[in-house]
Amino acid sequence: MSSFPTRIKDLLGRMLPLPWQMSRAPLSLRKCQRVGIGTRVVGRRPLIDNEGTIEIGRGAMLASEWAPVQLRTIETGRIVLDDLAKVNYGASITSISEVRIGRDAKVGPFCVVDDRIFDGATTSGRPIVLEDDCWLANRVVVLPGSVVGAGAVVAAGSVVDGEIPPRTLAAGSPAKVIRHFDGTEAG
Amino acid sequence: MSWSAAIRRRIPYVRKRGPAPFVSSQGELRLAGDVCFEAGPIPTHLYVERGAVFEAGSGTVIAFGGAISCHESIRIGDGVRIGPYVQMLDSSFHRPGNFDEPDPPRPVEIGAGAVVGAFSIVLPGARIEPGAVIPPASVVTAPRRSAPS
Repeated sequence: MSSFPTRIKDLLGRMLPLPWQMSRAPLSLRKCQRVGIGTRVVGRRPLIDNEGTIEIGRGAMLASEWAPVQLRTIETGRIVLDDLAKVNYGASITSISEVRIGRDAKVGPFCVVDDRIFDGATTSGRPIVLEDDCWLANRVVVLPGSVVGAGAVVAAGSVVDGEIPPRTLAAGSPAKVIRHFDGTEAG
Repeated sequence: MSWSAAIRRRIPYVRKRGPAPFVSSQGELRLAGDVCFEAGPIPTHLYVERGAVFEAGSGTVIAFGGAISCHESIRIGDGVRIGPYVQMLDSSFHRPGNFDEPDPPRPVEIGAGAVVGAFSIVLPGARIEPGAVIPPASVVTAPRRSAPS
């Protein structure tokens, strides 16, 4: 019973800033081509350098309390945040081809998602897909051409290169599957 | 050609908003005309001690969040791409266990056209060959000394 007032306080703490977070989103994200309703901007203003296309779905969240979130597109670049996607503080998403972040996908603090390929003079990239409901933990680097499957979890500090199958836990550099969420250990 | 167009021809990048690099230099800072410090969530820290030389060639891009500590010399060639959150140092500051005994600095060299991945650490005495690609989250150490006799 003693936790009851605390719960009310927690709930209010989450509910009360909602109108402010939602109403400031269109202004903070005015450089994006599309911002869905219910999208929230928490904390500082995100850094947006948009020369291509940035599309943000409904109910997405950009949390920039301790360090701002950075979204960058170069001319041909395209960033798509689907509905309910969450990008945590300090994460940096850069696109020259396409970065797609699925519905309810979570990008953790200080992640680096960059689809540019640096090989001298050429300016190319390979698309990155973070599928629905996947979760990148702290400081994950996602290399160009990677696909993180639906419901997959990537452990903190990992480097994703290539494809992570759906509903698995991956860790390491490069990230390897260490567990499947259907109960089987990776062989 | 404008400052930004000069870099844009070499490596695609965007630098518009975000904090400027945090530079505290008492030594020599030799930056070519089109060195770019990318803006990002966190500024790059660049510390150059008195009498030390930090050199970056033209077309070099240093991404955000890094920490560069230069006590003698760090030389970066032309067209090098340093990824975000890369730490680079040419001295270990002091010997282990003794704060008063300074560690002799060992110069760091990065060849032209090299790419250093995100979250990498470049340790004192490291030499990166021209055109080398360091994958993200790696540690670059000095070349092994010959075995003690």
